[in-house]
Amino acid sequence: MNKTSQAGTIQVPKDRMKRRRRQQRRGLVASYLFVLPYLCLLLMFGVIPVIYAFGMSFFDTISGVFWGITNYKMAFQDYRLEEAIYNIIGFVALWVSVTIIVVTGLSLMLDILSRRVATTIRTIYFLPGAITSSAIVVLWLFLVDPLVSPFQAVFHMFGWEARQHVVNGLGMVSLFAIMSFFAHSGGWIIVMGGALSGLSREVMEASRVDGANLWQQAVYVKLPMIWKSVALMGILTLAGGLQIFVEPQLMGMAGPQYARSDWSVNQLAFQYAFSMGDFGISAALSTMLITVSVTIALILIFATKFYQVK
Amino acid sequence: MSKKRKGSFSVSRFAVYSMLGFGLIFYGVPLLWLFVAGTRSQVSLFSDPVFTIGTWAQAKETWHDLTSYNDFQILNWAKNSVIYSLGGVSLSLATAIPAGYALAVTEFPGRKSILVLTLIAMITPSQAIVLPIFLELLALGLNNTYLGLILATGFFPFGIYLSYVFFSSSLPKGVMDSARVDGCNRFQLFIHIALPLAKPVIALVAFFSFLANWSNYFLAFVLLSSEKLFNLPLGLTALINSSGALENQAANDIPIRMPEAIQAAIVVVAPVLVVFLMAQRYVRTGMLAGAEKG
Amino acid sequence: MTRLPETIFGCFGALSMSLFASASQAQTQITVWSDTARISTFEAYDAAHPDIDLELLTVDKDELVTKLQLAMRAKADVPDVIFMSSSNHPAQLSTRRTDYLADISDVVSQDIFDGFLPNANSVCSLNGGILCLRNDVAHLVMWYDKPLMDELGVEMPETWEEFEQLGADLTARGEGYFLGSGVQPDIVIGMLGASGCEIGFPVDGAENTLRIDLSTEPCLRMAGLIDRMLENGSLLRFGTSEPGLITQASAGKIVMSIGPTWFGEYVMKPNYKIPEGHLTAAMPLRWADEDKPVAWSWGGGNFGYWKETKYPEIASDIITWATTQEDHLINAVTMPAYEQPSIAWGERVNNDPYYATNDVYDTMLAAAAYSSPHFASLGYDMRSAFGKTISASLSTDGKLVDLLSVYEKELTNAARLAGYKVE
Repeated sequence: MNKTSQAGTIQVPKDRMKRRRRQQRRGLVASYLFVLPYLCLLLMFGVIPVIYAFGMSFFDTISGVFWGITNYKMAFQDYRLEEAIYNIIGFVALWVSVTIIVVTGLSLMLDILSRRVATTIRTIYFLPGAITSSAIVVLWLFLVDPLVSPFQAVFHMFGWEARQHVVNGLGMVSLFAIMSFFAHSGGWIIVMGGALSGLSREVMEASRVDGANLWQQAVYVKLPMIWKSVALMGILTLAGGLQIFVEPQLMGMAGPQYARSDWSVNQLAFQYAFSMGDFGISAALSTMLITVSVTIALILIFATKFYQVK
Repeated sequence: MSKKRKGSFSVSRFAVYSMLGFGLIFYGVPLLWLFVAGTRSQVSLFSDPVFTIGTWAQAKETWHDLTSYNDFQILNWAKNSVIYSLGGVSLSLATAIPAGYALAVTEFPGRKSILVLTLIAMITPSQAIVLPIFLELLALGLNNTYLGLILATGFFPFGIYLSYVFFSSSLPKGVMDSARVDGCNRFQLFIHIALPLAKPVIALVAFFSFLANWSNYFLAFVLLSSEKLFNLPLGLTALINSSGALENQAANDIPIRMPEAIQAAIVVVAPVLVVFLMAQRYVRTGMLAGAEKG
Repeated sequence: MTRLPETIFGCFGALSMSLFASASQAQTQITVWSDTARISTFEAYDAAHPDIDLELLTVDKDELVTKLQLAMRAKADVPDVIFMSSSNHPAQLSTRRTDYLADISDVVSQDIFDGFLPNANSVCSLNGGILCLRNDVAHLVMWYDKPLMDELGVEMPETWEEFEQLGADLTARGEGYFLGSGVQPDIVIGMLGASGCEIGFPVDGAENTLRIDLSTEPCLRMAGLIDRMLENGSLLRFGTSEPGLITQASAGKIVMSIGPTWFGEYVMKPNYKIPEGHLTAAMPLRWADEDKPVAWSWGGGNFGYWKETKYPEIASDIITWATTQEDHLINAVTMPAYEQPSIAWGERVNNDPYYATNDVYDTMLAAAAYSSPHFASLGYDMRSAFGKTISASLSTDGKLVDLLSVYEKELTNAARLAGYKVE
C-alpha cells in the first residue's frame, strides 16, 4: 500500500523507522487475524478438497491402487468427450459474450433512470435467478412449448409449432445459453448497479458540465470506472460456462426425449462419479476442467492486473 | 446545433427505453406467468390460454396439497432453510468482510496467494470437490448436522471478492489515513471507520450469500441424509421428482402435480424477493452515503 | 442398535431372534431407502413387526445411485434395503465399481419366485443371479376409448397390420382422430422390442454381453410401420405428456394409445380428460404372421438389499413381504408383480366405474403372460440415447428407418462404455 511503498524513497530518522517497522509488524499480525477465519474455511472447503480430488485422479478408486495416468487415458477414450468439448466451446463463446455485452449495456442504461424506477426494474431482472432446481424445469417446460408459452407469438413467427421445433430451432447451445443468461445475468446487473452507484457524483457532474452526452458519459467515464466488476463478471462467467452442468442435466427431468446427460464435460465427470462409481476418471476429468478454467482465469487476471491494490 | 442535439438525445433515450423494455419482457413475463399459473389446475395449464387466471378455490386446493403433504413436512423444511441461511450468511459475513478488507487495504506476504486460491475455489466445479468435502465432514462427525452444512456454505469466496473489490475501490483513502494519524489501531480502524462505510457491501454479500444458501441444493443433497434436516430445495425437489410431476406421467397418488410444483417455485422465490428488497435499501443508501463522503 | 440382537441372531437365526428381541424390548434397526410412493409399504411392515425398527429415508429415482455411491464410499449410513424405481438400477448397482445388491437366488425360496407373474423378474436377473424382487409390472397394453370406437364403427385391432390400417382409415376421414404418440421414446422402444428388434438383449450364459443390432427385419418392419403412421398423422409427433398431444387428446380425438399398465389411471384419466365410461384396455398387438404378441415394459420398481447388511434374513424378509403380502398390496398404486396379491388388487380395477368395461385388469393379467423376457436392466440408459440421437429428427419430419443406424451406434458405444461386450 501507499505508505510502505513511499517509505523507501523518503529519508526518515532512525527511531521513526523503527517505530514504523514495529507498526508494520503489528499491522501484519492484524492483517493475518483479519483473514484467519476465512483462511480456515478456504483450506477446509477449497484447498484440501481440490488437492484430494487431484490425488484421486491418479488412483483406481475401487481398490485404492495407484495407476498413474490410466484415468486420464480412459477419460480420453470416452467417445462422448470430443463432442462435449465442442459443445462447451460453443456455449462459452455465446454465453460469455452475450453476458458481458448485455449485462454491461443494461446496467449502464439503468444508471440513467431515476433511482426508484431503476431499482424496480433491477428487481424484476434479478428475480428469475432465484428460481432454482426443479422449479426452473417446470418453468422452461412451459416457456419453450409454443402451445402454452407466454412467448408463443415469437415462436409462431419462426414457424415453430411444437416444443421439439423450438429446441431444434434454437439448438442446444443457444437454448442453454438463454437459460443460463435468464438465471444468472440478473445477479450481475445488481453487482454492476452497486459498482455504478459507488462512483463519485462529482465526477459525473463534472463530465456533464463538460458537455458529455449520455453515451459519452457511459462509455468514457462510467465504463472505465467499473472495469473491475466487468472483468470479474467475465472471468466468473467464463469459468462457470466451462463447467456448465445444471441446464443440460435438468433437461432430462422433462422426459427422455430431452435428456442430455452427456452434453458437457462436467456432466461426464458427474456421471462417472455418481452413476458409475468411478471417482478416479471423474476426478481426472474435473482436474482437466479446473486446469483449463484456472489457466484462462489467471491469464485474464494477470493481464488485467486485477489483484492490484489501487 | 442545440436543437439537433436535443433530437438525437431523445432518439437515444427511446433506444434505451425500448431495450430496457425488452429486458422487462424477457425477465418479467415468465415470472408473471409463474405467479398466474400457480392458481390454475393441471388441466387448465395445458388447455387454456396462456395467461388465464385460475380460481381462488383452485389455488387454495393446490396450496393445501402442497403444504399438508406428509404432515406439513414442508414447514419443517422451511424452518431448516431459515436455520441454514441464517447460519451460512452470518458465517460468510464474519469471514468475508474482515478478510476482504485486509486483502484490499494492506499488503502482506501471502496476500496474492490467498486471492488466487480464492479465485480457484470460486471456479472449481462443486461436483469435483463434493466427495472430498463429504468425506472430510464425515471424519469430523459433522455430516448430517446443521453445523456441517453451515460451515460448508459459510465458505463463500464470491463474498470475499465482492468485499475485496468494494474496499479496494470505494473506501475513501483520505479518511483512512487521517484516522490512522489520529492513532486508531487496525482493529479500531476497521470497526469505527471501515465497517460503517461498508454497509452496502455487507448488504450485497449478505444477499448473495443468502441467495446461495436459500437455493442450495447440491451440497445439501450430498451432506444431508435425514429428511428431518432437509432444506426447502432438497425436500421439494425430492417430492416433485418422486411424484413424477415434471414428466407428467407419474404412476402414484401423490397429490403433487404441476400446479403444486409451480406454487413450490413461488414459495422458494418469495423470500428472496423480500430479502432482496431489504438488502437493496442498504445497498443504495450505503453506496450513496459512501460516495458523498468520498 | 445394541449388540444383543446381533449375537443372538448369529446363534439362533431370525425366528428366535425376533422372539428374544421382543422379549428384551430391543429392536433391530434396519435402514431403508424408499421412494415416496413406497413409504406406506415400509410403514406397514414396520407396524407389523414390533421387533424391527425401520429407519426410513425418501430418496427419489434420480438421486438413488448418487446417494448410494456416497454412502458406500464413506462406508457409513449404507441402507440395508432399498426400493429401486428405475428398471436400470439393478444393473447400475451390481457392477465392480458399485457392488451393492445381494444375490437372492439362494436366499428366497423357489416358491416365491414361481409366484411372480411371467418374466416379472427379468429386470432382476443379471448374469445368472437374481438381484431383486419386482414390485409392480408395467407391460404395454392397448388403451382405447370404447364408446368412441363404437361410434366410429371400428374394431379394436389385434395385429400391427390392422393397427396401421385403422390409422390410415381414421386419418382418411380428416377428423383429427389419432392412435397415440409415435415419438415417445418408451413407446417406440417398446414397439421395437415387441417386434423382436435386438435393441440390447442380454445374451444367455454370456456374462455382461448384449446383442445390439438394429438393421434386422424385425426392426425395419416396425420402424417402417411407425414412419408410415407418423406420415399420415395417425401417430402424433408429440410425446405422451407434451401439450401438443394433450390438447388433441382432451378434445376427444385420441382413439387409442399403447401404454403401460399404469397409463390409463395416471396419464389418460387425469391428463387427457377422457370421461368416465370410455376408457378400457385390450391385448398388446402382434404381427399377423406371428401367433402371439410380445409385451415390452415401461417402468416398474424393484426391491433389493445390501450384500453386506448385518441382517440378511431380515432384509430378505422385508423385500419378500413387500412384494408378496396381500394386505397392503391390495391398495398399491400400480399392478403388483406377485400374482396372488395382483389378482386381489385387480378386483378394484375391474370394478372401477371409470372404465368402460369390467375386465381391464383381466386384460392386463392376460397380457402379462406375454411379457418380453428380453426387457432387462442395463447399465446405460436406452431412452436418453434415443433422446440424443432420434427425438430431434423424429419429432419434426425424420424417418425412424433412417435413424436406426445412428441409434445403434450410440447404443453400442454406450453399452461398451458401461462395460458390456456387444455381439
